Amino acid sequence: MLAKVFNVFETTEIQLTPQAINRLRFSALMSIPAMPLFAAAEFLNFSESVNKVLIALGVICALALLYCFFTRMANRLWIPEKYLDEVEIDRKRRSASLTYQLLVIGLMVSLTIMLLLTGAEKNSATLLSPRMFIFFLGSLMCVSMSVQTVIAAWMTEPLSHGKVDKVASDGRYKWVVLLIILTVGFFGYFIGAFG
Amino acid sequence: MIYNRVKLLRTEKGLSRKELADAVGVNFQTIGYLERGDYNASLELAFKLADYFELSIDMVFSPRPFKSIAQELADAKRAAQ
Repeated sequence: MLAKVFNVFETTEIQLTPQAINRLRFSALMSIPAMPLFAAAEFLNFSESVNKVLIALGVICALALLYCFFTRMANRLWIPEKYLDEVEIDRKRRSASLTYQLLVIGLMVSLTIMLLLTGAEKNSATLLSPRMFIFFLGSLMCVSMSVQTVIAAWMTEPLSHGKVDKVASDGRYKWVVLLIILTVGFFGYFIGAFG
Repeated sequence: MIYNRVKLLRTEKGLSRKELADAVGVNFQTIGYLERGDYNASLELAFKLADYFELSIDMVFSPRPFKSIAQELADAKRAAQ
């Protein structure tokens, strides 16, 4: 059953054209600062106008993030390995290990800066509030997903060159994506209106 | 680096990448990267491909570059004489 579901998201020739790969690389790169921008608008004491700009930029980056997560190649990074073939497993493992290394370095650097700031300002209670911690974890998750997508997209060499067979495009994928958006939108509306 | 004759054998059989990929149970991109030399097949896939083409594994994969078909034919002719 699951194999059938995951096969809907199988990579086809259209996703391996140079244009499609470049589009994914660009949008994945653009999506990295989405959560940090929202965090900056929420927790740093900028003026109202700067906050509006940060949120507007954050929304654009979040849209890029949404686009990334609905591309087949990014989907293949989250599918269990038994449903992938060996090239996809190799790409998934290599991108995950490189992402892990980069995030550990980034985390160490950001924690050091944070400790230096809190030490200098004696304001650790504000910087380590539970709300900020939850936001930090959410940001870390989104950034790690974006970074892994960027790395995987950069590891992927284009196979097709523009002209691809129309049969290669699987129409079911678009319907599944539409269904996901509608379901999430419905629950979002429901929670927003009655929650 | 492992060299292979997958592209030659596939085109000889008149198969698309997708058809060959389906026959050996992988995604078409694996065949594409394999043909281009961007990826080394696992032992399992190498055996599957050799079985599919009904050849021994060393006829499909080699650690040294394969001779061209023209060279192979010339060698065979010379050996026959």
